[in-house]
Amino acid sequence: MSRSARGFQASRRELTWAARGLVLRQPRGKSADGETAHMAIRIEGLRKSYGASVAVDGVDIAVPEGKMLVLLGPSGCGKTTTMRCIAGLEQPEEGVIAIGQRTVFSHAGRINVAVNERRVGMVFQSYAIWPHMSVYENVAYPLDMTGVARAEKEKRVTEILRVVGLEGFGERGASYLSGGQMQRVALARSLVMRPSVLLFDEPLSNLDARLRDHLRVQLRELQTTFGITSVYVTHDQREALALADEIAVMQAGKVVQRGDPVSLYRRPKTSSIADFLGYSNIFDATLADGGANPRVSLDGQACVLETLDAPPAGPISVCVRPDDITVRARDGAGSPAPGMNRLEGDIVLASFMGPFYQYRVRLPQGAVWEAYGPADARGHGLGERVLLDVPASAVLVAPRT
Amino acid sequence: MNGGAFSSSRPAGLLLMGVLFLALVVLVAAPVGTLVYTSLLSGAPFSGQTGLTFTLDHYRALLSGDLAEATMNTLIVSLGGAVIAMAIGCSMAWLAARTDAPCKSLIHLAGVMPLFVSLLVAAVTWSLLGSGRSGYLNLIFDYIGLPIRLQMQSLSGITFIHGLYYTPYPFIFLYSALTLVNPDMEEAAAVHGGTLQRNLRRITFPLVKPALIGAFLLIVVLMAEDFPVPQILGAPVGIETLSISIYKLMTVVPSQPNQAAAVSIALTALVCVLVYVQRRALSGRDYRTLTGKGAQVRPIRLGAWRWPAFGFVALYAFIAVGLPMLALLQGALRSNLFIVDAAALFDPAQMSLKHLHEAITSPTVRQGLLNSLIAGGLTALIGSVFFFVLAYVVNRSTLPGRRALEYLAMTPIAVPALVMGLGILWTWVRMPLPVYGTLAILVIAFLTRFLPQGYRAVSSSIQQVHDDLESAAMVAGATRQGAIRTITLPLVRGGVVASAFLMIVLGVRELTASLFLYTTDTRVLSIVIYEAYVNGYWAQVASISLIYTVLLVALTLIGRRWLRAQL
Ligand SMILES: Nc1ncnc2c1ncn2[C@@H]1O[C@H](COP(=O)(O)OP(=O)(O)OP(=O)(O)O)[C@@H](O)[C@H]1O
Ligand SMILES: [Mg+2]
Repeated sequence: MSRSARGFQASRRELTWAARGLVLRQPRGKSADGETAHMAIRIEGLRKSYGASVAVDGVDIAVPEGKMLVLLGPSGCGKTTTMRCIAGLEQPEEGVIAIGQRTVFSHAGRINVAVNERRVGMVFQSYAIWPHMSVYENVAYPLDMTGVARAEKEKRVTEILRVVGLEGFGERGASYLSGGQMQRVALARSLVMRPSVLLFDEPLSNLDARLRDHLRVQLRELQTTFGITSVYVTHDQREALALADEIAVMQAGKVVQRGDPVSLYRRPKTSSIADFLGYSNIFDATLADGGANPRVSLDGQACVLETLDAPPAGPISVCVRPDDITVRARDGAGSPAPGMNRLEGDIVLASFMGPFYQYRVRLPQGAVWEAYGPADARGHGLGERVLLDVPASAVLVAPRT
Repeated sequence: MNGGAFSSSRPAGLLLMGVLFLALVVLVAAPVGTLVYTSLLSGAPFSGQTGLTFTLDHYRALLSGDLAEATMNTLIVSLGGAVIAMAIGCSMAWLAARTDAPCKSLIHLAGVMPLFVSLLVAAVTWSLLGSGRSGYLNLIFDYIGLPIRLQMQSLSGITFIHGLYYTPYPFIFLYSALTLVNPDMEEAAAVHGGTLQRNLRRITFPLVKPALIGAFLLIVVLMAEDFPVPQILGAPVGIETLSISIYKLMTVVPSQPNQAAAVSIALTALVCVLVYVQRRALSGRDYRTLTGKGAQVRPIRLGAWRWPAFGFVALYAFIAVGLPMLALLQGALRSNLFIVDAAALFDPAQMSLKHLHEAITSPTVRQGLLNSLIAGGLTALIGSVFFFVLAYVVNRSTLPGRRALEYLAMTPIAVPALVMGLGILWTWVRMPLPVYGTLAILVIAFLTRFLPQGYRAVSSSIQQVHDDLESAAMVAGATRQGAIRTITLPLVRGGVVASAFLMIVLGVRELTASLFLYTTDTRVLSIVIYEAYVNGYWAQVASISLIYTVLLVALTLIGRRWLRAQL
């Protein structure tokens, strides 16, 4: 562990050094004539099915030059398939894919540019490091394919290995690397070809938690420093929020919501998206008062909550994030402030998580709520009766899905 | 996997597909089709004979008494042999995999060694060892006053030889199954209070049952279609199995090809049923392609039984390999054929290198050796390329019809070698291509016969290479051909070389399919031995067999590094 951490510090130093002068490539982002950034990836109406099952069902995506789009969604929702369509590894049935100014696939226009001519970089979930080659040979492969001169090749490979923190690993056989090192080789391999677009397919999912955090930070730094347009696939909401300029949430082959991380986190469109974004308190509800101060009653909980949302038509759910709830002892709590909902229940689980306590609180009718409390206090004990303060602004009312 | 794989070059892909289909149809479907056709015809096909009609007479004739007996005999020698082979092979596998028996590597060697003794040589030597009054063993029994006389030329003799030489299959199946079974499961059972016997019965046995059933049915199939053993030990005394009936129908004058074809179809049907049952039993689990995870197993203590257990293995190795080799030496080194008694067996005055020298210098033997190596080598060479392309298209493309290709490639498993030889003969003998009478027809026969093994070996090594590896190369700018050349090929080289070696060894060992296909100029070594046997030149049979066995062992030793994964 300490080894990899050191590797990171080294590479971070290299990064600033690289940013100061010896940049690998000019940051893109703003074009010279000052016009607004155009779309570096544009996908319209993408469809791909395997036999009878539809993996990607009419996806529209646009990524501005130099930005990172994260595709977030549960397993099997079609993220990898979308990605492979962009790379050219799968042939879609319908739609248009454009990279930069160039249409690489168009069903209507009968265009299908071959994989090896698309100039996209891709980091595979399985690493896909060639085990019969050395680290150097792995990284130099894309340059060999484009016939870069030998001296130039050596310079670029050495540089890129330094940037990802693998200086001196060149001669190492690729099958003798740790998971984290392999992932860096994969990254170096896709960076060295200076792709117009970089695709990441859950690049961190096979790594342990700490290494994942480290690499995530480094990835984001590299991506913003060099301004490479990227699409990043993950099913980890934390990773998505931390990395993205924009997130597209996918479910069953469709993009169900798009937005920047903050607004997405604040306003998931449906209860199932909320569930995916860490809203752990989701309950079926009915509208109790649709007036200026809307109120919803939770089904089977004899409990009415104030909310600021204008409740949508149709079946609804109430979604509340555990960190928006304040857990209070009953003694000396006073009466709740206006706009504050108050619930009462018994603690059935209290786990110390480091930065906070995680509680599960059972209400008299049996529903169990999750809430986080501060870690500095001694916390509440098992079986203790507590009050849960839920601000009306934190009560999200969303269509039930 | 790669949807876009061939999409940009779809026409080229379809062309490749067409070529592969054509190759498989010529190799597999044509011979089988010809057989079916012949079995329904009233006279020899493609012979210029006119007025031929379709008839079911040959199938009606199958129900007559002779054939019922041949079927019965086939079942006896294959089921009986399978029981013996299972008993020996499984005990050795269990000793090698799970106990603290001494010299594990020797047990392992004993378990697989008989694979490299050609059944032809085994049958010939055992007829030397144990038939009639002058069988070497009978002479020795007589000398030491034991009232035992072996008669290998009998149904029980054939069954015994089958049992002795098919042990490697159950050994390999059970050994790999046992090393794959997670010992945790047995230990968990022991923790919960099971005794050794109870655990074997309740935990281990159910876990390895598919492997046992798979091995049993496989060897039943192999024994049911076997030709050399019943031909050498049964035919001279009038014992017929189905393969022998086919051969007889083809070699009597005038030959009865239509009847032979009908019997072939019957034998194939029998084999098909067995293969089907085996497939069902294994339900997709191929134990041979899995290798042990190297789980640390605490061996079962045999205590006082350690050395007796080893003795059992040593005895088996001696009977299956040691005795035949001694008999071959004896047969090859005798100066005169007639042996009065056991003392004469060991009399140095009667030894000479004459026959061995003759065999080594004989042009027929040299030509046979050369032919064997050329046919085996060509099969390996062509086969490697062909099997790789085939396995690649089946596993890595999205071309239509690729599953059908795989079925066709696996079909020869259910077609007995003798039957396949006959089908190939009829397919090519009338072709305008100058194939019949050259080594090419043997190469075609070998390619067809070993297609399932070769294809599966290459296919499983392609499957072990994650397809992301090739995708990554293409994303990095390589064409598909470039990606195959720089990534996939180097990674599957081991598997391809292994299957090539397997082709050579199997090709050099092959006798049965060659029987209908050889001509004077294209005799392979196994045929040379068989002819010498038919003509009764015992010393020659023994001498050439000795050379042949040395060749096979040498090939195996050279290829051991690559072959291990395949066995
Ligand atoms: N080659 C294929 N053949 C058939 N079905 C496929 C194939 N590849 C993917 N699918 C199916 O398409 C759907 C989408 O798969 P995809 O790999 O894109 O999911 P994903 O979102 O990447 O999931 P994960 O997070 O598990 O990687 C799944 O239902 C999957 O079973
Ligand atoms: Mg995926």
